[in-house]
Amino acid sequence: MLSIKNLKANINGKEILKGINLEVKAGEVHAIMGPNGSGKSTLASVLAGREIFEVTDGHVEYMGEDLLELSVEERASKGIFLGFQYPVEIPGVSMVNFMKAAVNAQRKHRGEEPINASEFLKLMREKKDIVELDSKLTGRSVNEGFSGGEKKRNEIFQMAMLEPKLSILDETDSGLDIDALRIVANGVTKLKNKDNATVVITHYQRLLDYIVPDFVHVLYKGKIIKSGTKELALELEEKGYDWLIKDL
Amino acid sequence: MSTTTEIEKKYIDFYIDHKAILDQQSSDIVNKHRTQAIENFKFLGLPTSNDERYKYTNLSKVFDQNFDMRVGEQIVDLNVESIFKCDVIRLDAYLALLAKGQYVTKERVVSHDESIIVCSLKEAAKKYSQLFEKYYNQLAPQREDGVIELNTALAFDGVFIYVPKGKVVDKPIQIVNLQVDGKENNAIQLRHLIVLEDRAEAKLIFCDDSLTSNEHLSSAVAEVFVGENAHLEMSKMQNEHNESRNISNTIVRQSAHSVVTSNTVSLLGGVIRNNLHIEMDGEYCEANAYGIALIDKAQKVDTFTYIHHAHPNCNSNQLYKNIIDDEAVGVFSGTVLVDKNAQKTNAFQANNNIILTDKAKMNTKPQLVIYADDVKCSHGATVGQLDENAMFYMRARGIEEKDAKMLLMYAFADDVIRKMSITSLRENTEDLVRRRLSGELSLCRNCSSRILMNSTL
Ligand SMILES: Nc1ncnc2c1ncn2[C@@H]1O[C@H](COP(=O)(O)OP(=O)(O)OP(=O)(O)O)[C@@H](O)[C@H]1O
Ligand SMILES: [Mg+2]
Repeated sequence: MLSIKNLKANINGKEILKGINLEVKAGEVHAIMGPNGSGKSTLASVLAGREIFEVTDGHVEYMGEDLLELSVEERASKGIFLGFQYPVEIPGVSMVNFMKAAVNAQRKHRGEEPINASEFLKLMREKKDIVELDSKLTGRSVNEGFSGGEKKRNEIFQMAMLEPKLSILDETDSGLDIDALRIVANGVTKLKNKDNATVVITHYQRLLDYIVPDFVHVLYKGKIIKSGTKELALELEEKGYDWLIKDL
Repeated sequence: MSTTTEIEKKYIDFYIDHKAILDQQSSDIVNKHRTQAIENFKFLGLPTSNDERYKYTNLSKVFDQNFDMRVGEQIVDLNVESIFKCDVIRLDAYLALLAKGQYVTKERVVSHDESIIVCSLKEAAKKYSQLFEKYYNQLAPQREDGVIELNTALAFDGVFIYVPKGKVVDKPIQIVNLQVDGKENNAIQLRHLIVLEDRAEAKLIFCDDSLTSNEHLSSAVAEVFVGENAHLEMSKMQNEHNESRNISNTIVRQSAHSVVTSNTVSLLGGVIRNNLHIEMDGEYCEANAYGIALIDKAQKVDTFTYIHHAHPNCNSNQLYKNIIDDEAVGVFSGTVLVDKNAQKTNAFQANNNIILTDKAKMNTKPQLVIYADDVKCSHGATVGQLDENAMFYMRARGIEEKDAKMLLMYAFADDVIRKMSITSLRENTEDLVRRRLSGELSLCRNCSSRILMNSTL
């Protein structure tokens, strides 16, 4: 589904990604871990198409296409979903209008008619239940005045609404209390099937108890320095990153 | 002013040539102010950018076009009433129509109460002379503005609204000023007088609209008196075309415990200059002034506000926003003056602007002048682009860039629009703004068809 080869990216002339290689197949769950500032969010942003990052080298193939040629919105419409580490507040744009615009944009991309009002409301209701998102939140402006945890839940709600093929969840577990963590993680698990793939970026093993990864990667200074199975996450939890870094 | 410029001389000559006709067609009360006004005009002149109040818009230049000045009785050759059916609105409102500087509505406007008067200024000066004389030109001269003085010198017609003590107008009153002249580039002066006595309530909607695409100048002065405990909401919809020059002066004096709200929506117009003066003449006054301008190409919208807190315990709120595209220019200068004795004043002023291109420009000058010590005042101005993070967030959900932009701009504008209390007007404005933002012409559906009609007339 996703094949990243030797991906390098800069911001303001400073190299952040220094040659990333990663293969993600349909049905898989990958976890990316790594110390602060190692480039995890940058990788997610580059995959989503954020223009402030300049790709200087490498290649990314997504579902047989050159991903780097696509605009942000094309990538989204083709099934890439980025769960933001810091979801953005958009005062004045209601959750309903935002979601409707997103759903319809993606439908348009697939050559489908805009969703009708009652169908849309039904969809909203259904998906809200998956992450137990409070109805009063969808009545507000996008993320405005949401608590940290509510924002994260809202990300998964949006993911549920859009049914992406490749979800990249950037620290969706941070800031969640234990119950919320379980709800969010179960939401992700419910949305998982053999045709889609999930990349979770996290600092904590506890998320991986719920969303069991097939592979765990360690990103350090813009490179994947270690890949393994779920046991690697346990090992990191216990020993931290030092032993890996020392090995370099 | 030391010397009279060519252009000022042109207007003075025009006045001399037309004074006899004006005097003959107007009442003594209006006439008796002309001489002093033209003297004042000679002294003050047309404001140039040397005048701090007009720093960013040289009005002298705006007046310096080959306009065919129209004063006195004009033949309104189109049957405007029959072709005009403003769909600004399926508004349930009373309608008063102005064209070529005249009040043209024939029938009674406000039907539910005989004592509420909505009529021609010209007529009111004669018919209700005592009442009229008490208010007419009582606020205008204090502004010391050449444009206002010229208006007083050439005053002929406009709307007169009088709501007696305790009366509530049951529906909004919509005053539509229509450009109808298909041929020459004309210039008109409008003069309005609005009086709400104690505890009276009214909502007014002023629409500037156009049936032509000719260059056009209209200069309107409204004197507005708001009695104790009275409530007045004025909405101004500026939607002419980009060859028009629209200058308005709204001068308000409000008494204790009254509430005055002004909403201004500026969409189409070449040069728009709005002056809003509010004098708080008693305790516990509330003044709200809101404005949104969406401008592009070579448009210019210049907003000037002046709110004078002369008594304690008054509140004022101002929120003005501009979205500026292409090479358009926005200006906001707002002054809040708080006198020494005006303790417990709350005064808030904000001016927020979005600039969409490198060439678009915004000049903003918010100003608080405070002499009292026990007050809560704040002001702030921002000029920025659309929020990059929000844009990316929306696009990352598949929303196309242009739609994401539109959602953001709409949200920005709606912050102001939702202050409008007249539901149908608000909804219509939202629709106009949405269509304007999506690149459609923001004329109402009827207006665009009327333009086509007119071109074949
Ligand atoms: N807009 C930017 N301008 C300059 N530097 C940036 C920018 N965005 C990220 N960086 C830098 O890139 C590096 C990687 O940041 P990134 O956010 O990808 O790290 P991360 O692995 O997600 O960290 P965390 O675990 O703290 O979320 C950091 O050194 C950061 O300062
Ligand atoms: Mg990060």
